[in-house]
Amino acid sequence: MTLFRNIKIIDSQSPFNGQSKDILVENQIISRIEPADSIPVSPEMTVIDENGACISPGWMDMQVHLSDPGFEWKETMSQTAAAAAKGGFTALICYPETNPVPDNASIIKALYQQSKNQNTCFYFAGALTEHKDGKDLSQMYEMHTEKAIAFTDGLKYPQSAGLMLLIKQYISPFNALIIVNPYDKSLIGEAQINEGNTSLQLGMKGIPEIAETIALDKEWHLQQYSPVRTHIQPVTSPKALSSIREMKKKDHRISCGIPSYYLLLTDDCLLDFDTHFKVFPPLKSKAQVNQIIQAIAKKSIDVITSGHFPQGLEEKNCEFEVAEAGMLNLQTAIPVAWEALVESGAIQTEALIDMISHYPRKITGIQAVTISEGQPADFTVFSAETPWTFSEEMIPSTAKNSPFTGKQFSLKIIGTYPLNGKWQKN
Amino acid sequence: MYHLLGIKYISEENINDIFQAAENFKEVIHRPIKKVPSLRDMTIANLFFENSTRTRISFELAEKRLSADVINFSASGSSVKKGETLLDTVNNILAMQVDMIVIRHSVPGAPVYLSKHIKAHIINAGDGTHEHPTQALLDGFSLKEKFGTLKGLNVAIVGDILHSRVALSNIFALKKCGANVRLCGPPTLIPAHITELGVTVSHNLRETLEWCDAVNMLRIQMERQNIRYFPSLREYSMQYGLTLPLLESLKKEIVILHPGPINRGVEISGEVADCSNSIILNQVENGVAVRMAVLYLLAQANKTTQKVS
Repeated sequence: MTLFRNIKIIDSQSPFNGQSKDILVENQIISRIEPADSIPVSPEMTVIDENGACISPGWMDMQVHLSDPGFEWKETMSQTAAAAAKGGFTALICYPETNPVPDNASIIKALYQQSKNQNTCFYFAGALTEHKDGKDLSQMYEMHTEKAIAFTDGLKYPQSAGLMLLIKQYISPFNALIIVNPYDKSLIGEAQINEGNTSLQLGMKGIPEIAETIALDKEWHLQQYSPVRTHIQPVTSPKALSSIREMKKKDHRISCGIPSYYLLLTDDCLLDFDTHFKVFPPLKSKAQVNQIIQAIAKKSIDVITSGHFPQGLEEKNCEFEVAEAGMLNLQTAIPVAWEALVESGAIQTEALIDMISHYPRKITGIQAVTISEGQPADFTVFSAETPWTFSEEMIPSTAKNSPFTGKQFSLKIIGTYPLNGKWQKN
Repeated sequence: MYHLLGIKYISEENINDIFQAAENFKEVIHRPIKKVPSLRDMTIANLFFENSTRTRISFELAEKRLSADVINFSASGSSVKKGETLLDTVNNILAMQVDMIVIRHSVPGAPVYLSKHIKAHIINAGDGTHEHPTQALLDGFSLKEKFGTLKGLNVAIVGDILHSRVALSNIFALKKCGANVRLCGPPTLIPAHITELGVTVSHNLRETLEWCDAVNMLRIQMERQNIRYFPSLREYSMQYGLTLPLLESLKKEIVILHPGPINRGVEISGEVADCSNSIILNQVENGVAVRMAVLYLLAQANKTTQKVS
């Protein structure tokens, strides 16, 4: 039995939203919600009583680049789970980043098997195409029967419109979800950073925004021809976001998401070639980031993710051009989003919780969770009143590629209670 | 100045110090005994991970005229392809007690990356499409020698701006010294938004030449172009090649620079390269003096007065 004493409920779907209550959890179920400081403490209870604590439905991350199996020297699945818990996530959707690539049912099955004993709910996405090489359809139906939560080629977007159409047509009978990040490879070439002042200063080719918008338009034509549940992620172009806003008005099957670091970091960070800031798609300019935040304030984005992508020391400690893209962000994702969105006044706490709890479950078709009596316990406890500093020692993974070490955050995660799991305090 | 990683990392004052020292060293290299003992306690490694003849010889000569001990290392292709990381290669060389390295590398930012990990002084001798600071310094020095000052001077840079580290370093150096810069070349070889760097852009060579006091003609960097940015050298030359008739049709005389190697008949005709307004060979000579100045000033610097941004 765990008693959460005098805790503020942040949950747009809960009848107690905005109220401070005592919450008792028994046998993985929220058994009682009573007025604050009213439930008497019994000896068998663990009592959590933290200053300024809030509780929300468990956070769910729709973009984790899993390293295990294949790249265990970056991060094992247990380390991913540990980082997720520290970051407040009770559920993760893992991209098919592993080796072997999950492009068939047996690998999906093995991944679920491997994740069974973790104190975090893992969901796995299968590849859209065989080996994620953008040529032939993967065995999506069988993966779907083995509970592949979505299909994506990760950060690789199949360039052929013909292939994308086949994919959409093929999956439509079983109503699967695809996750794509449309870009036109021919407009990117070998460029690795955003086109703008930074690319000029560094003498490097830049990726123009039209690389995203042109491909998105193509995706929209395909979607109208053969509509399926399509989640566009990561979308980092403000122009693409305003197009998606219009598309969503016409087609409710479309949704989109963005990793939180795109909301706080700008391409200025790359001015001394720091590989920690190398991500794909690349960081955007200050002006573009402001536009993205304004788009979030207008509810154009459904989901905030971590975009967590572990890379080993060797992949990052090298020349910029040969460094791998990606950054750790499971532990910092929501503190970063909090700073960029809530602290800045762009949105309210409740709106952020919707984007990291309710919408990811709605988009992926996972059962909704809410803070009310009789509901299974699946929640995150956090406080915005305890500043803390993120340090390298806090990272459970072997990979340490976070640009946020040494940074102070205002949002602190106190602990998580994953579905069918146990309370884990930070 | 502890390193010279790029013009963008140094001040106008640094540039003037280099010009001043270069003037003194230019006098030295015209003496019967062209050598001074300034760096006789220094060991310098020239690490060329990319082909170079002129820059490498110019640095080597500058080092030898300052009495430094010199070792040369050349490797084609990036060290990564050979299985050894750049940092490992450099650390191996530094373990032999090298004080300063001159590095040319195909990857932009490679010298900046090294500067975060090693103690030796670093001179960037060209890093991919990023910077080539000593070339910009010798171009600036040559212009200053010719015109007395760079302030208010109109300088045009013509050619493949997109792939040129010489162009970028020149833009930074000329702007810092108060010159006006205009870029000219096919739109496919001019980076988008380049005017944000405070330069103007033209696609008309005649207009550009009418405007400028000096023109720096760049070579087409075929080796960096993995796609065709223009249909043929013939078409390029028709639009952006500097010929004697064109030069003679102008109402004024302009000074002609070229960082070399020259592709005669492409960006510049033979007669123009050899004409009296061309200071191409002065540039080469000044290159040694400017590099001596940079080596000398860095050797004087203390680690505390570092570094990038």
